Amino acid sequence: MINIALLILLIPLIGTFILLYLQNSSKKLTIITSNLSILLSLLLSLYLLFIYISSNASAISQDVLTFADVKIYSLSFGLYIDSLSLVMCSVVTSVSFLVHYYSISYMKDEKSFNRFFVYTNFFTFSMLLIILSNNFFQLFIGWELVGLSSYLLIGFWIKKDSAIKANYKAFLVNRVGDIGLILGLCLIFISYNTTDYNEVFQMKDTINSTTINIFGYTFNTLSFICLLLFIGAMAKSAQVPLHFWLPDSMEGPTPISALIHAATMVTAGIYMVARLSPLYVIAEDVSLFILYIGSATAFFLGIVALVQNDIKRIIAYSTISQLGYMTAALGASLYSLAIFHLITHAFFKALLFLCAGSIIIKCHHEQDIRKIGGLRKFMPITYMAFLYASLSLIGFPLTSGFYSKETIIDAIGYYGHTIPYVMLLLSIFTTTLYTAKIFSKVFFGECTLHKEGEKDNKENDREMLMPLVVLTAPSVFLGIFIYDSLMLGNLFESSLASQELVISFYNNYVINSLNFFLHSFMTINFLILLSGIIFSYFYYYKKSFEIKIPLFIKNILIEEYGFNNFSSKYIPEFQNFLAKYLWKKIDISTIDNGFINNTSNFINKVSHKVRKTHTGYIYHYSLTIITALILLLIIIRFRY
Amino acid sequence: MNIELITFFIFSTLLIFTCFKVITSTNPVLSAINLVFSFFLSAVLWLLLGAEFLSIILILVYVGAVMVLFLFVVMMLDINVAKKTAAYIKYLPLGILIFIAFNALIIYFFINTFENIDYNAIKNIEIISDSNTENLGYLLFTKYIIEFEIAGLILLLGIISAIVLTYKKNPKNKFQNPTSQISANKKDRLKIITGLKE
Amino acid sequence: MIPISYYLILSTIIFTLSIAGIFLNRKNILVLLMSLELMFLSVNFNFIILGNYLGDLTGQVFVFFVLTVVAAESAIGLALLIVLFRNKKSIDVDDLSELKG
Repeated sequence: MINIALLILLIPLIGTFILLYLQNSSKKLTIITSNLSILLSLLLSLYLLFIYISSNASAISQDVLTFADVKIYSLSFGLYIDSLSLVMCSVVTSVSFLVHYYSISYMKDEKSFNRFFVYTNFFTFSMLLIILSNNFFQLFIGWELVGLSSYLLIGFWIKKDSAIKANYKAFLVNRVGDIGLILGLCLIFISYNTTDYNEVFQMKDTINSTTINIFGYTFNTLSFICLLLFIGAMAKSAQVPLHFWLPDSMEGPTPISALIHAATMVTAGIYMVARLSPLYVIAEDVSLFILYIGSATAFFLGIVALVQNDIKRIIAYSTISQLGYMTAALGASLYSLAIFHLITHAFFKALLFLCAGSIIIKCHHEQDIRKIGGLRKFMPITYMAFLYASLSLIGFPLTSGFYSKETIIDAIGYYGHTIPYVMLLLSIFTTTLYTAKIFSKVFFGECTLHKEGEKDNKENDREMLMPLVVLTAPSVFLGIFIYDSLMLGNLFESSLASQELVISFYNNYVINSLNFFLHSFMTINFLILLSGIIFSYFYYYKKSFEIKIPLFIKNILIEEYGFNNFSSKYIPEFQNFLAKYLWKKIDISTIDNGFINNTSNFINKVSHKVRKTHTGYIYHYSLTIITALILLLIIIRFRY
Repeated sequence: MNIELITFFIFSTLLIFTCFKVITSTNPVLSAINLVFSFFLSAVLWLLLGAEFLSIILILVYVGAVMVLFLFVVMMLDINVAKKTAAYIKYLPLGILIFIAFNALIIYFFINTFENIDYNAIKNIEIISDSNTENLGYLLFTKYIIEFEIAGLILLLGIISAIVLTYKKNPKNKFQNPTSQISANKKDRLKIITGLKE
Repeated sequence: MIPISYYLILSTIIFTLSIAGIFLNRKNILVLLMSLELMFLSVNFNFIILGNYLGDLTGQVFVFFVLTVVAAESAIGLALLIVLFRNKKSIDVDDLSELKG
């Protein structure tokens, strides 16, 4: 099985190199190579998953290649095969394959068509590197490579100024989070003397008793490590306060937004915390912190989406909000629920983005939803796909989004975390609102598209539509199928910790999927959902009434709570000020004037004074000599 | 009170007086003459100490050569005599102070060191013969031969540097330079000009 | 017999006289050079006295060499004085302050 896993990992890498070689040749060859490599990875990972589950194998962690072997530690490249990583592999490769297929048509007018596929193949390889890694070092390498691919892909249109700025923002915010990751990595290395996952998990109890002393404050080592690692996850998975790179990263092409910023890269942080769940279960205060961060993200950024007008930005905020759900589940130690939501979210969010891409292409690259409308008649397939994806997103009963989202909310409420529960409930309302906003503004209303009387009624290319159709199925039906096996803990028993919380919730509250469905009509979630649907029906579709939002609230929301300003204006200004101040005080005053000039000035002044003794008259000199001689004689006389 | 002591006292007081006159004369010629006189007096004192050769040498070399040189220079330089009248008066207290201080220290030291010795400062030294000159010559040519040679070199140095320092080439002097005479050739000296009419 | 300390006192007095002569004169470099000669004289005195006292002829040998050096040194000093006079047209010590710091 290790060999198959190795193949899964390396085939996209080989594809990258072949595509690099094929840079300037025909498009057809590029298409075939890229799609074939991802397809092979997908088939192999599905096959491996099937074997793993059917043979009830246990987790395998094996080092494939050792780079450095010093007596104290060794760095190696290894693979970790268990249900969690195989499930993630399948999700990643399937979404990646569909996005590759989609971008055959989406990017067909691009000049640097081949470069796109090089980057996406490389991205798939890096993501698989994170998922299949078995030690922290490889995780870190994959983490950085994924950040790199995201940088390359967001700034894909290198001539566009806003894309370059967004590029830098994404990479730099990721770097800020990486400070936490690197520090956590170093701390792990110092405390455990190893970077392997299994060894760390075995020694976790001994490390829990040690404390670490920083600047006079003592912390528990394990909590501190988990906190630092979570900071890295915060930047990658766009939690408050390191989330503001994600809306700007919509400057990249839409398939990229679907692949990276909805389904796979942003979930790397979630995956990492889930993988390290044995550590996070012990560090309880860090878990509480994660819970609050997640629910705050889910609520506050859902509201911001209500005042946006760009279709991709609204979906981006929706992604951040849903990532908040997953993080909250991680914080409440419900790791398998978080992974479940991750899987379903990957599918329906990718579907949403691909529909948005199809709409954008059809409307000649127009992204503002106030300027497009009435596309229901012209794009039926997109309309249906978008409808199902939206239903899954808002948590309409029986869809997979319903099963994952509502389970998380109910479990958090069941275990008594009230404030997160309330925040997550309220964000159901906002989710419904902004989804309905896009839906009604884009697909209904008057059509401003075919003004000149175009006869072009073809919706879009076949390659673009096929992934939409294919993705509809998992985004609607996946929930029911894996609900019982997932929640019973069979699937993720060996890999995630504290399954007993999930199992007890399942046994006491859910009982089974059908019961959950029937029971859901009586919960408060459904009430909020229903009120959201009714409200948005009247507000967006019928436009029956207007709501005046006070201007200052609207300004706060448009400014996204000042995060963008903070990072693009205040911090550079502060840096400038600090640099100038330091330059004036230290460089000029202390070093230039103080040390260099003042030394010579001092010597100058002293020598001016001392120079007066050189009168040039001989008798003065001789007088000095004689006086010194007499003094010397006196001293000798009185000492010896 | 024997003749030596009397001689010593007379000549030493005269010596001190002349030295004083050397430094406090207004006329430099007077200072030079006083210096000559002091050399003569000290030669006598050296004779009293038994250094016969050196006392004669003192007169011959020092007075005969160095002081003559001094007087030549005094005559050669244009010195204003009438202007300055005892400019040393201004610093006389300082001079007296230094004089007394220095003297006191060293004399005190000398007296203390040489307290309990016999009073005979004049001894007879005999190496190969009775005469001072022969002894001195013996020592100079055997034990201190290298220093002797170096002294000769120093004198050579003196001669050369004195000439080099004061040598002034007369610009109106015409002389030959054989090197440039020999290295003349046709190319430098001859230039053929054509095309000159009439 | 003459005590040795008498001679030494004499030599000391001549030495201090010459030192006083160095900085007491302001108008003549020649007098400075002459007092230098006096200093040499007193030093020679010392050598002879102590050579005689210690019963060694080395003192007188040394005086021999000192005389040589002094002769050379006076020659060079006077040559310098002549050159100085050529350039400055004066031998006043107060005028010789070009090395003034």
